[in-house]
Amino acid sequence: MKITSPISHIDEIEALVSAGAKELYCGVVPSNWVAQFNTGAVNRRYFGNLPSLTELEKGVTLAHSLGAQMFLVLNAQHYGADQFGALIDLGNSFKKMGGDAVIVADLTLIVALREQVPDLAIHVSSVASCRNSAAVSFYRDLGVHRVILPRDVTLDEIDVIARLVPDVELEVFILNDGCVFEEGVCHTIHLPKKLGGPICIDSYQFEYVGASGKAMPPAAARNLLDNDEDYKRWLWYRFGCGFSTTKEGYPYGPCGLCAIHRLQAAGIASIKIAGREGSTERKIKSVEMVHKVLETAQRGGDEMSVAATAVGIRNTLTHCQSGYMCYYPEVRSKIVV
Amino acid sequence: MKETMEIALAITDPRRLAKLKSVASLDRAALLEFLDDPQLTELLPRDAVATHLYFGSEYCEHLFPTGEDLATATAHAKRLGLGFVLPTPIANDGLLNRISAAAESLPAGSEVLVNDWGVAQIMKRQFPGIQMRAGRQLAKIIKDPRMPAPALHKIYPSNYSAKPFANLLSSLGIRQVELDVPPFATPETFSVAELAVTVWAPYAYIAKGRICKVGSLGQKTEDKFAPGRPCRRECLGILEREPDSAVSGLRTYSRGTTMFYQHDAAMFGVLRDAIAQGHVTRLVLSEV
Repeated sequence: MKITSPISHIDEIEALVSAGAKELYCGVVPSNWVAQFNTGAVNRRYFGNLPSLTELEKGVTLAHSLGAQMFLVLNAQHYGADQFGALIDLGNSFKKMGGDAVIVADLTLIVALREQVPDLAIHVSSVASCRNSAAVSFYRDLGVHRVILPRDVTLDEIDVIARLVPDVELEVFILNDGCVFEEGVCHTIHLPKKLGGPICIDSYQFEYVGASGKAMPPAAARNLLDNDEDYKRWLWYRFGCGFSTTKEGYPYGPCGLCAIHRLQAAGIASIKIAGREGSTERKIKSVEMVHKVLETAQRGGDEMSVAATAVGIRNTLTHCQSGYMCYYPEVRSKIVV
Repeated sequence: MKETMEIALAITDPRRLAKLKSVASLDRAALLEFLDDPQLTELLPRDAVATHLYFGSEYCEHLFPTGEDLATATAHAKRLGLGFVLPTPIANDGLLNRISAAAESLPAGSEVLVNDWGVAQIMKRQFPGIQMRAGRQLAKIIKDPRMPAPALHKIYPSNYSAKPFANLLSSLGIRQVELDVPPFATPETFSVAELAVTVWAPYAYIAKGRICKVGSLGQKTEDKFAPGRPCRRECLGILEREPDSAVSGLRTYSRGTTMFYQHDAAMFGVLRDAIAQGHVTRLVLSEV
């Protein structure tokens, strides 16, 4: 099982590979893209992209020289028909420079790339919301090599998919990504803060009403308000605990480290660290943290020792006990309760 | 309005099926009474009568109908002379099995509304005689109710009108796509080559998650807000409503895992024009 790490600058590559990442992924905004489409949105992120194809080629060469693979994200939920030519060109360029795979969510782009850049490996992005074995089989039949499962899948669900479709590599989230909604079916824009920011954490004020539009009874209203307070705490964890870290620099926030033993046993190909837009230090500390736990698992550590390593790195038991920082909370109770 | 346009009523809450018991015909008056939304008065023509009943949820695995509720809904559809449509959400493998079992029991001529390529794959292979429809989660379009300008539709183009998308659907035997009315829509928004277009009103979905706030009410604090937990379907009895539309410009709601907005007068106008121009083959009326 490999660690997949984001990069946003090629200067990060050496340190991230040294920390334990064997797979890297990045975005790029070719200079002619902005001129052609009047947007920097080649993928899901405006920021955290490499600035040119030249930089991308340097990154591929450097990663390979260090024994790592480089993936390119083309993971917008959907592209317009007029963008497909430019995307195919981008795929061809990436293939020619030795790139290892593209990460794609738009099904029509997957089909177009298979037809027009047949030797370029395709990983299905988590943005494709692929949550069952039939969907993974569907993508396999289209010729993809790997499927990145979305956040908010259970370990049992992962086990089933891995068992039923053993001929497709699976990648799962392990650290840092914190969307509230499912990315693949969220049809909003992360607007600038003055226009509301992300819709999931903006300034909406809701009131609760009953089934027929009536106000909630007082006891039910109290329960709902208490639940709201819990939800606000969960949101705080979901968004990286305010993007805070331990004093050693290990990031808090969504985490699946305790599940590494289970994921390894399920035959998962890779565990994904999210956060292309994060700082270099955050990325390096993230990889270090995952690597330490993975090493314990790969040395033959049992489930408890792997989880104990995971919890011990940040040594912040209250966060782990909360249950709100876990991608896979079903393994939490065995360790910290 | 095109004479051939179909009209459907969509129900998610099984308790709402009881209201159909007293209905002899799901005509305009019955639809307006059921939905109790004055804005629909102008949208529905005088001779409108429902042709289809949707029962189930596109958004949540926990709201997939029980066998008993499904039988009740299909019986109502049969009695009222309506075609039946089973909406399905993004599914895990457990739900795939339930969807297959439900498909086995559907009356002849029923349709399945899919929002998951895996569900589509299963339906195509195991139930080739059941017509599928592509749901709103497969038809990607920016629907942020706060969207400040129509230009964003150009920056984030929709996928559903591209020929490769229609080709993909066609390979699965799908020839119908279902859409919402997005902010800054025009009648041409609903003009799609090679696909018949269904439009939902008067609510559009914005975003959905798998984590449910009200669905966590019955959980211990540390077990809340996680997938795979039991659900008591609290969302069917509790709705979150934006008190006014100050933030969004469109009145916004949250029902369980999903956010919706309510169409404003301009959106209704666009929809009426799209219907008049013959772009809409089916209109689905729903509650939030």
